[in-house]
Amino acid sequence: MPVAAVSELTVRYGAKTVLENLSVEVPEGCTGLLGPNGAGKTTLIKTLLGFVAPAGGTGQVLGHNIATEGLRIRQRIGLMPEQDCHIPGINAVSFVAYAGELAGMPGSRAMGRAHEVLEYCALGEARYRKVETYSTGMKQRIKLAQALVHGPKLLFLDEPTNGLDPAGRDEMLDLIRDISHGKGVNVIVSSHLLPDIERTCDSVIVMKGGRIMTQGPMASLRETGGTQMEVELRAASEPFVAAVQERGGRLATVQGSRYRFTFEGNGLADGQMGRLLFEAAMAANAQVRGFRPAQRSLEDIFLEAVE
Amino acid sequence: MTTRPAQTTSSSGEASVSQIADRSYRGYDGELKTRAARWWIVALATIRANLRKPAFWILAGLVLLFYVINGLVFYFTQNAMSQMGSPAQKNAYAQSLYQCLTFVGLPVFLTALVVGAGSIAADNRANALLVYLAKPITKTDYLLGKWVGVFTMVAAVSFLPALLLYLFFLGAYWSEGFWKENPTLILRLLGATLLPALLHASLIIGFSAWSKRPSLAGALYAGLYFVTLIVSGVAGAMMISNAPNRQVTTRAATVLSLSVDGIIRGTALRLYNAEAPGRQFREQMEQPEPPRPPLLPLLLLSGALVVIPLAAARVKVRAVEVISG
Repeated sequence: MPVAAVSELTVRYGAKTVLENLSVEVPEGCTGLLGPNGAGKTTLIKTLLGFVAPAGGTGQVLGHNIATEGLRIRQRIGLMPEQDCHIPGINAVSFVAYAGELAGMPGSRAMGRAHEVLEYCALGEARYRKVETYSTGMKQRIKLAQALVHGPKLLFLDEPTNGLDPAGRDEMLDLIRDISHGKGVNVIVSSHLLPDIERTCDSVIVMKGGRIMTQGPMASLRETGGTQMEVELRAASEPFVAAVQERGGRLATVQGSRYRFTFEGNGLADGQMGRLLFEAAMAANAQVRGFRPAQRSLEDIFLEAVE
Repeated sequence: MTTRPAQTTSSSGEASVSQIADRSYRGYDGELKTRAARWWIVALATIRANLRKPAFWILAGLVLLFYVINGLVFYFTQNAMSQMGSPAQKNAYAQSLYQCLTFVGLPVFLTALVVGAGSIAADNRANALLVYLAKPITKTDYLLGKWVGVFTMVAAVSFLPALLLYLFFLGAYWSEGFWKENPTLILRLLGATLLPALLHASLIIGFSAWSKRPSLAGALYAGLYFVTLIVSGVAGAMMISNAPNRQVTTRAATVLSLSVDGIIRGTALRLYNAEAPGRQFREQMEQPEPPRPPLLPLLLLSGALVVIPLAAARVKVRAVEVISG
């Protein structure tokens, strides 16, 4: 069952159409919402939350209609917005507890839960400091904490690693990975940073210009349909490349002594391609360290989709 | 459930490894209320935040001091008059309450600035609306909560000291027929002291919603407050000076009330059935008591000054900036 779905969704800001006849289903687990700036990722999230009224189409989040059940949706989801945001003038634990109360938690439970969530987000030591005094990384984590405090079933993370240094980014991605796997929390990560999505998500939706360009589980999107093989040699070898090309293979990429060959339209099975590669290696006197059916990188998937 | 090594954050924001804290994530499956009065959570938070402000307590103390001094002056004056055998002043209790209200007009206004200027402006600056409106809270809940929070604080400063003075009158002058002579005074007191809170809370919320800086919201409201006070005062004075025998007409009295402070004083004058200040001066100049401004225009104006700023605030309060075009 999808955690969120929209059908024929159109969103306009004045005369400008931002999302046009968009239909997509977000599966359970961790889903990456990818796209260049201006692709409509944030608008899609805002529409799912009821912040922006669609000009047409329908949608649901966790089984609730986005047009009529906005409050119920917002009670069951958590949002970590892209921008810095906090309640001014209060310390972190009061802020997170207040966020819990706003979501409908009883006051005493909200305070206890705020302490737990702040520990989880590595802000335990800084819980009594005012949020205004936090560093960028801590502000990102407090945004995650306020989104998690009421135990949402679906978490929207909008550019969660914005402004973080490499160490902070690693920690944030670890947190996202941890929360989205085996904790009963579905996560939608909106980002234009491919490595972030690659590291955290099980499925991906690529958007461009307000349209869905491609979507699906990461594993199936990575598949090359059995037409590409990746070979690693002991040392780079030009004769080996020539030998493979003589046997119908086309060189796709080279990275040091690692080659990727495409066997287009040959209808060859993995075993046959392997045999051809070994024949070529013997002919070129090259030593094969390993080979496997090639997988596309997320960058390949993204570039194919948006170009 | 996995337990990751705990990372604690030092004051500089850098993470360090510690094994003490339990860093495992536990879901929350407890109660999540869908309250009807969701705005109350926002109101309560606004009240709590303002109770921590020393300026609020200083102003509240100042207002209380005005009422205490006025009560003492009243007590000793009444004693002296009764010893001299002078007749009791007509409507003395209401007149005393009205005097207090005019004295404390400025501190009550300043209280509104202290508690209200940052109520939404600070949220705008911190993008807090994204936090509020991503929860099951509508913008009406948010606005109502903020308004109730500010209103409660200003009303407490305006009403509670007046109530104390009223209770003093009730206790000290019960035997002199206070209750029999003034059965509706408590209701009139309620109306006269809550109107300032109503007007100040609505106006400051309106300015605050349109600003990202509390100081700017406060400055704009202070500008409106004093400019309307000066303009209406000058216009009223010109009408009086142009009138035959420099008499204060009803129209001039109305024009003199066309400011936030004027509405509050004019309405209180009507509600307390009090006498305008400056009686001794008028007696020396042999001028009659000026007419009181009519209540209906003041109430209509009050209504407009409550509805218009709140409607303007509602337009501004939203979770996202939607750029048209």
